[in-house]
Amino acid sequence: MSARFEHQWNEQTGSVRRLSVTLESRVESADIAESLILEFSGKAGCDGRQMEEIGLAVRESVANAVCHGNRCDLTKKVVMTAEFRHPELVIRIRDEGEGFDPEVLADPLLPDNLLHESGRGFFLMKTCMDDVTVRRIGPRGVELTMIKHVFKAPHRRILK
Amino acid sequence: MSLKATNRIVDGVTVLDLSGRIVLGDGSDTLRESLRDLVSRGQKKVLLNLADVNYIDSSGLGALVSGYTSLASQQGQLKLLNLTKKVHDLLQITKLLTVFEVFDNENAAIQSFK
Repeated sequence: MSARFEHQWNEQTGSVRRLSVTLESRVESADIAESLILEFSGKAGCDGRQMEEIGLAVRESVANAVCHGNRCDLTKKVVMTAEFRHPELVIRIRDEGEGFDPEVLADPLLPDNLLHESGRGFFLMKTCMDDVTVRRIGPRGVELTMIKHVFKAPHRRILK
Repeated sequence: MSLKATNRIVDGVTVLDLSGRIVLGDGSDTLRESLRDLVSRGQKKVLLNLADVNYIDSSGLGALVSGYTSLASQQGQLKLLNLTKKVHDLLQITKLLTVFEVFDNENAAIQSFK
């Protein structure tokens, strides 16, 4: 098992309220994170479509943290936390990389970029979630925060 | 679920039947290797049957684009068949539906290569 995780439970409902996972900088961590967030978001009350969108956003963000942030350096970790604060699901992905400026990322929808093999991950995160922000943490590290409004009809649904 | 890929030839077109998820790691690696192998063997007409692929991430999209550009550089063509709703929606929001020729009928897809 290449992940360490903790749950906090709601004593009254028995539902998970908070999830914290420490992942190794391996590509398999994207699978683990996706699986855990699907279970968590289901227990938080997300419907099937929301779960799929959240799962894809988490997969993309953990893959980005592992491959681009930590550059698959096994001495570095990726930490994912998820917290259900009615009516929002807040997910944070933290890595130990140099960070990136989302404002300077190439737009993957521009005609000149359509045939690029990479560069769609952050776009998919923004499309799947209601809010995505990036901030640096200290001298080395980046935290990406993604929010999903669970009980509000989302502005867009990509996986119908 | 890992990706399974099997080849068959129909009227000179290589149909690659895929089953599973095309995601970062084994899934997209399997697709890249399968397409690289076809290109190296001189196959220039390739149809990807995605009927049993219900999940693709950005790495998988990258593998599809890689196959498309590799074949195009050899004067070949890569086309898609039988997209599931999820995969269709993903290709639509990423505007890759404007890149790939997509079919929901195998005979029509095969004929389009002629």
